Amino acid sequence: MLGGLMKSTHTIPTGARRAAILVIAFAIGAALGGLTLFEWNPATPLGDRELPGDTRSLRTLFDTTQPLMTDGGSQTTLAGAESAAGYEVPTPDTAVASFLQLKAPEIWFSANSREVGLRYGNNLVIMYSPWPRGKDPGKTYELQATQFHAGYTTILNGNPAWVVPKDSQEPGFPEVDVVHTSVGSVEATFFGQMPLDALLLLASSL
Amino acid sequence: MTVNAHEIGNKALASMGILLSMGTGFWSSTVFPGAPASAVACLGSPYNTTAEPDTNGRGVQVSNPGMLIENKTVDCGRVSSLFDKNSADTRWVEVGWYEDQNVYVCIPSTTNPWRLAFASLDGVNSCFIPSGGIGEGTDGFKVHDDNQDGIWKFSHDATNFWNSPDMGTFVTGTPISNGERVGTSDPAHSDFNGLKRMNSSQVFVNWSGTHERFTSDDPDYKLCIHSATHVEVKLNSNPC
Repeated sequence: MLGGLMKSTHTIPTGARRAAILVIAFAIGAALGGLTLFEWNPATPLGDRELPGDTRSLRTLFDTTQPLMTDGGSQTTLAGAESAAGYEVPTPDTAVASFLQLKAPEIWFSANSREVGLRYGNNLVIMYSPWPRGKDPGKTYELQATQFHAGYTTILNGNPAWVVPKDSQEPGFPEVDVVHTSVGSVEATFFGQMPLDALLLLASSL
Repeated sequence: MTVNAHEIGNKALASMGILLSMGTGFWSSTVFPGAPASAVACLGSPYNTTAEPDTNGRGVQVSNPGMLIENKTVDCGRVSSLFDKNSADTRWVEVGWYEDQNVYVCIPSTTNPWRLAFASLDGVNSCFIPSGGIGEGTDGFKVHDDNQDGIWKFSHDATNFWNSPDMGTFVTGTPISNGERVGTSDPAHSDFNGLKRMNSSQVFVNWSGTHERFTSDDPDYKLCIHSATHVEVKLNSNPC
């Protein structure tokens, strides 16, 4: 149901699309028991082996006591981030975010990488980065799904996407659900501690 | 109620016939993690001692003379490596050498130093599978994406020995040097002399403003910054 409605939403007017998204959101909420929507999955260890190198768990992205960016990136406003990054930052539909009870996001920007990050409490992080000139997002996602043996490609609201569910490469990889999608010249990567359907709904509302 | 997002998402999408493009073509030196390896006694996060310059790059290199390679007794695992990493630590490429007693994902166990090439993209990994060890000495290592196509090239001395999968929009990052060990009995001594980063003109230039990265957490090893282009990881008992 969800996929079919998403697929149709990109062809209908914005007002109607928003209404459709809200209907879907309510349906998900009802199906999952309203406020239990954000009950977290139990923590999953990284299989039984370690990543080589100086790395941190994806789950630390949701820890609001730690900086989202570790390269000197800092918090700013959305307008400030867009101005500094040089690209528009598409954000999830506010009605959907409100229904899902997401907190107002922290806005982060790194001058080093031109990445922008939005952190909505401990449920959602979205990282944005510009596509290099000449890259085809749809073809890139197909290649990445194949090369990393993880997830699947799809279309969300008319935009190419690579969906990488938790544990889809092997147990612990990735640790949380991840959805990559591309809007114009910008990639938005969603990391969620919420049901995958809710994450897909947010990604399709850009 | 605990919701299994994975199952819900897959069922919902699969039922609508959305999907799915997963071909099978691949190059033989790339291996993906399969079933988890058997449990070992050396679990827990590795200790890292790391340094970084004050400017990002589309590549990182150590050469003339290069990175120290030592063949020591290792009970769990150790790594000496260079990184380029994105701002949220979710994407990186890593080149250098390692010894592993079955504690690391993706890469095979060793009894002596082997080349390390690793790529991680938002929680999924790919790595180079070496066919043999490398000798002790001081060698050059490099990883870079000079033309910003998302494909990072890994080199040991003059040999390009692996290319990453397509890393998409990850084409630049923070250069980092890393001395790492997994067990408290493992050595972490590392020496990086001749550190460079690739600038936007595709030229390797010397590191500047080199400082310890805040993630350093080894209680027994410390960073010794000899100069902006030369850092060493040494036991606390050894003077810098």
